[in-house]
Amino acid sequence: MPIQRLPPEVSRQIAAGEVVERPASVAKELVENSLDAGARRVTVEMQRGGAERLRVVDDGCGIPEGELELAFARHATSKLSTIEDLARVATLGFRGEALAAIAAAAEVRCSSRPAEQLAAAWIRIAGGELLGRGREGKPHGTDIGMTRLFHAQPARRKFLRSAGAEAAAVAGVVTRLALSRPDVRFTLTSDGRLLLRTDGSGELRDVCRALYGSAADHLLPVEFEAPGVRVTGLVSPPGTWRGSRGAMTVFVNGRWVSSRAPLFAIERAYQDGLPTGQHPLAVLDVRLAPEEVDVNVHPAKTDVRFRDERVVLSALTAAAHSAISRSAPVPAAGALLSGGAQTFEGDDAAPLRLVSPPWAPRLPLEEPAVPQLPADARSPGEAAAPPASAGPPPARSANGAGDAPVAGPALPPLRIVGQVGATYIVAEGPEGMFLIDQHAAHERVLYERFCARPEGEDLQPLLVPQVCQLSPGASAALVADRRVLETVGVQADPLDGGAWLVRAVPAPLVKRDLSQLLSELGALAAEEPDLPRRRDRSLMTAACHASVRAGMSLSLDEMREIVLALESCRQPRTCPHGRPTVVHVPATALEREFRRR
Amino acid sequence: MKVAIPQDSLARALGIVSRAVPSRSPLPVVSNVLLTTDDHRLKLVATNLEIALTVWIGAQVSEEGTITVPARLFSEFVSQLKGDQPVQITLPPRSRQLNVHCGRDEANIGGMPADDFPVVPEVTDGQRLVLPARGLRRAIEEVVFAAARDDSRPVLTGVHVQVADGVAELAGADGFRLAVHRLRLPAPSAEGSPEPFSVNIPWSTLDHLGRLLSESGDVQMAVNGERTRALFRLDDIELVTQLIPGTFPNYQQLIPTTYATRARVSVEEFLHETKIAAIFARDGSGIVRLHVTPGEGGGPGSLQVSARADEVGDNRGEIDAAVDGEPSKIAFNSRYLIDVLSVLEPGELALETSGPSNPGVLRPLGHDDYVHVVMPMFVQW
Repeated sequence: MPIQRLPPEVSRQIAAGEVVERPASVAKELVENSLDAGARRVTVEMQRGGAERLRVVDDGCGIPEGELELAFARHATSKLSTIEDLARVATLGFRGEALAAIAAAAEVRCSSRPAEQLAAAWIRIAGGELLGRGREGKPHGTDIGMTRLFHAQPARRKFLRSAGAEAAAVAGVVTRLALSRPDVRFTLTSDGRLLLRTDGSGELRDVCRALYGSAADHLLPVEFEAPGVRVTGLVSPPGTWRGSRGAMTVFVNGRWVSSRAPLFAIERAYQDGLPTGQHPLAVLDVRLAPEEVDVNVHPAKTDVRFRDERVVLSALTAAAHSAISRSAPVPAAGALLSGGAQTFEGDDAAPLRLVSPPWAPRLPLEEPAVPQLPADARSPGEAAAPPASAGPPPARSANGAGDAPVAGPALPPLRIVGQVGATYIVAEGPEGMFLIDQHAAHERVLYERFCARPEGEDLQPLLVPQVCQLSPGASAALVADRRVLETVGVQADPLDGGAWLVRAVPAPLVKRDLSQLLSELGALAAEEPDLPRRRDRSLMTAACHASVRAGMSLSLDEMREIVLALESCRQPRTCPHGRPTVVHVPATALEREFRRR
Repeated sequence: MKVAIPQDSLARALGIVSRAVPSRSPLPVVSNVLLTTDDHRLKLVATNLEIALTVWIGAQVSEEGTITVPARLFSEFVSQLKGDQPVQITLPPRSRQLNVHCGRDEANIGGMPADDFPVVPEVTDGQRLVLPARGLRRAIEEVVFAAARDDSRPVLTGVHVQVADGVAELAGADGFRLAVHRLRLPAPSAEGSPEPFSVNIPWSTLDHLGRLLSESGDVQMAVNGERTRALFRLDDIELVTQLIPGTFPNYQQLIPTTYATRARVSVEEFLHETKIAAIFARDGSGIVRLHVTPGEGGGPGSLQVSARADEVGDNRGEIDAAVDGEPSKIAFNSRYLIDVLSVLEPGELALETSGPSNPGVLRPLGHDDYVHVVMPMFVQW
């Protein structure tokens, strides 16, 4: 085929792909335009995750009638005019591609009225072609609706995910924009249900309250300044954790950044206080001179480059740290007191610290097969994927010989000796010493119980139904697909504003943090497309929440119960995620260590 | 400071305030007890920043002074001293070494300045009332266990105390069960009856208070105007606590007013059978099944308590019951049954149910001041 210049409709579509991947990217472009237009009120409505219909209404400055058509041409923008402006971008959008790209990928109707214009002008565009235009009465501002995304590109439409996943993504975008602009009133609805409403009070804490519920009241204010950089926002005090980084948001000059390095920098401020697998809540805005940041890396503009990244990261750590340490005495005391009743256990555990010589980490029980498992299970998607059967994955055949010994020689009978670091149970067996990770072991026990649980069995209804506040994304995903809740056995109904009313939970989840459980199940519903795997992962999440945590001191009876239950498990050697539950220190190893032989 | 005190009263006072001392605290001075001379008395204060306990004991004060010393060390030492000798406490001026002398025993204890000790807030303005110690102790015992222990709904970690019309109503709930005790207040004094008010007191505070209460006498309670703190005063002890802000759920509507089946049983027998069933219920999420059968031909009915766990086994126990209404079945978490049955006074109770999915109600017979509502579990029968 000879080289030829592409016809305009083809090049339009290719360029559109860069900006418009899914409804969430459309929502981002449209809402950013609204904010750049000085809107004080932005309403986003979506249907079926936004793929069917997505509409953004604002009260911004509007587009004059004469410029309406030009707005949909490529590289048409009002936000910069010379190449020098590009170095000092202060608006959210600037590339002049967005509207053209959206109009190329979907059917768009845009109606806009600047305050000084008497009537609103509207145009309708599909596939880049003008379909119609006219005038109508409307309050000032812009009302832009997109319908049937990728209707002309079935190949791309196929890449869209479930309505729940797309809705969660749109909600994520709107959430972040709402956090970046507490002064703007945001409303987000999905299929007519209200997901998020902020009051535009200008207070970040009010936005957080709409998103995270009462946890927002405990957030600590951050005010930090170093040469050339300023960090403001809110972070959670030690003890207020989430199971994912979903509630950590970092803006640079008001623009959300997707990279994880800033999140790690914030977590560093909590030092050892951060339990494994737990993450703080944080909303931080980093202000730098515009020249210090390059946002023009990618059309989506979520990937930014810093002239000196270390300055930014260490500023984030220092900012969070100063907020935490300033607040330290009181919350720390509170956290301690609530656990105070059981702490005398700590003194007893102290002498056991003898047990940490170099051979301690991960000695195989007998076959070398067990330690291999974690590696398998961590590689996502494959080895750990259990069969779709309803029961517990019995001796996962996919793993072949690796798991075979599990069914046969279960754990030997163990005598409990004590607890180390309020995390590991020390037990004695016929072959020496066994160290048991209390969380992993309990998780295994409960996971197998959850799997074997008959539908509707051992459901504990609440006398007073509990309201749980979820993020709009998690809530949208659960509204779209409630199967994860049914799998786990949680009976709950959505209320407005991302809240859920929990009516009943399975017995092991009684008195656990239901808000967090539901948030994680919502995230799961959004991100895991494979049904059997989603079922399995939701049971793991439930088991994880129901089980004792690392750092909880246990009485001898409690430890005995966990170990007894573990002994009767089908796969006692690993937790559902594939981490080992038991480490065996053979008597011979002890003898060698003490030079007895 | 120079003070002489009888050993037994000092040991008792230290035993009381030590309960407020946290076992670990980021604020080191909080693990100390504050000693201050106060007229002809010695004042001892300990706090965990949520509650503060103050005890006054009569002492021979020959020199004023104040200091804080490690609570555990001081308390253990004093409790071992001989009871027939007074304890001499001496703090030389500008020193931080407390000298403790008793008979032929002597100790020097390193302390920290009293200025570092948190100030115990005063509760002066606001509401006051008088509660009977004995009645309050029973009310606390019958309600505190039902309050939530986890922080997911902070307001439920408190016991709701509502005072109106000569009655103090204590209510504890954790989302799955509700315990309500109505405590009749002594006849109002000359000042007139107290204004109605309601507060949420942390369950742990009431637990502390319950241990301090004696069989007789009165307790004075005061709540500050902002409803953020409360004070309890018993003879020579004061307990100041923070209150939990927030609105307690309207629990009156949760108490069923009708029933389909009512079984009168002995509290002790019911508890005994539940404890047996709990052994078998352990592997099955703690499910205990109850079957109520009315008697035939004038004979007594029965309450069957059973549990089963797959692959483990099952059990059944039966006790006499005077049954009013239809046969019924209902399943509960064994923990919830044992909790309430353990705190009820020996005697008879009525178990009222309206089907296996509606809340069950337990009412001790003979006094109408207590009701316990508990959510059943949904099981496959």
